[in-house]
Amino acid sequence: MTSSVTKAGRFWMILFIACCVFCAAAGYLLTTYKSQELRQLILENTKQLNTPMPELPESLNELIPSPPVDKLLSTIAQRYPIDIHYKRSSHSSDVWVVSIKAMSRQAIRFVANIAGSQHQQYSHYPETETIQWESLKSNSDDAYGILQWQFHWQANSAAHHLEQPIHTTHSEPVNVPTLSCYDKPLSSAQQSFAFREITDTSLTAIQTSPVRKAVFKANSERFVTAFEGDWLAKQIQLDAINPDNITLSHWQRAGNCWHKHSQQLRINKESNAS
Amino acid sequence: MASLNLVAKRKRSSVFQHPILSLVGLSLCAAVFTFTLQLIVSYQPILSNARAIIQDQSQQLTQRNEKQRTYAARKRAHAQRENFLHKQQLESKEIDAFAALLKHLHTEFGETAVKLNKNRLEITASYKSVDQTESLKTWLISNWKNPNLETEFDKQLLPKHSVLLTMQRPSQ
Repeated sequence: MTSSVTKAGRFWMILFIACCVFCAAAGYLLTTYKSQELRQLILENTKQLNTPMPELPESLNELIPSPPVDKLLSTIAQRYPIDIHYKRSSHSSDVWVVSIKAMSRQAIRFVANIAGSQHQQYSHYPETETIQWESLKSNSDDAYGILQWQFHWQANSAAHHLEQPIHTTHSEPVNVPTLSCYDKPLSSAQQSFAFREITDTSLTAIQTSPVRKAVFKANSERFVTAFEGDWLAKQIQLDAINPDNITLSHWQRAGNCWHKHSQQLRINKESNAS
Repeated sequence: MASLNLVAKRKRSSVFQHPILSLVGLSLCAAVFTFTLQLIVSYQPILSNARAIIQDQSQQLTQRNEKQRTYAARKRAHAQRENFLHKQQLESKEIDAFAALLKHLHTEFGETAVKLNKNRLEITASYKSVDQTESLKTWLISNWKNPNLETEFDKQLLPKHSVLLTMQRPSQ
């Protein structure tokens, strides 16, 4: 009888201990362990979220569409005294072959103007494949000849392999005057000039009512009256008459277009018009 | 009938022969289970809260990853644009360099022919004295050639007082 009680007691004891172990394990796994695991994850995430993010660069616009190449070439060609012939290459629709017969300075200005017209903006540009010059006649100042320019109208903004050019990159920039085919003098006919030489001429009086006019005293002690739009000398036009000053414009013609000096000449009363 | 019960009692396992002991054992086990269950249930709000935090963080991380992808894409786009603009600028500089060369040739030589591409420059010029050809080569080396690039030079004197100067990128 005693041994049967002991046996039963031992059995229940073992079962109880087994239950305790199982429950302790399950309790630990489903509470403390799980909680620690989640806390660890939270800590890792927090750490990741607290890492400073670099400032997002502004989004870039797409390549600005350029005018059609033929239109660009023909528009800019009007500004220069050049004979030009251009065509698309037979091999690729993006490759253009331009042949220019002109003084070398004008021809190169034209090329620089085409390249410069696209320069300040994120737009297509002419990538020179070949540029060649052959002089036909030369004088001490310049030479007349044929410039052949083959370029690829580059639109691909994807990474290119940047190759070192064989030339130096600090040559003096080509002087491209800002020519306009829309801007022109008030009266483009330069038939007569008020003065032979504008130097040593002084402004003596201004009248703004009833008519706007300016009176100049020339070198020869002669008084000359000029109105807005009058040509004072070759390429110098009286642009505007204001109560106490006048504005002169210096115009230059190139091809069918005009170039107005960006710096206007303003003269005040009694100052020399030079 | 009583003898049958006795037989059955004897056959029953000795551990279940004591109902009180069995009751105590079962109760203790049940108590442990109940306590554990209660403990687990009481922990659930803590775990749910942690899970909610994690879910919130996951969303933030997803947004952050998205932002990082955008950042990488924009950075790439910026690099490409830089590259594009740099090449665009180089093209203008090539024209400037060509113009400077033409200017020099016109002041020093009579008839000239110049051909330039990415890898090669070829100049044919008519000279008055042979010294001019050497000074042209010197001028090219000091004023026109990219100093960071090893370049191959070749000079050939042609009939009718002409010179052919070539400068090219070394073949790889």
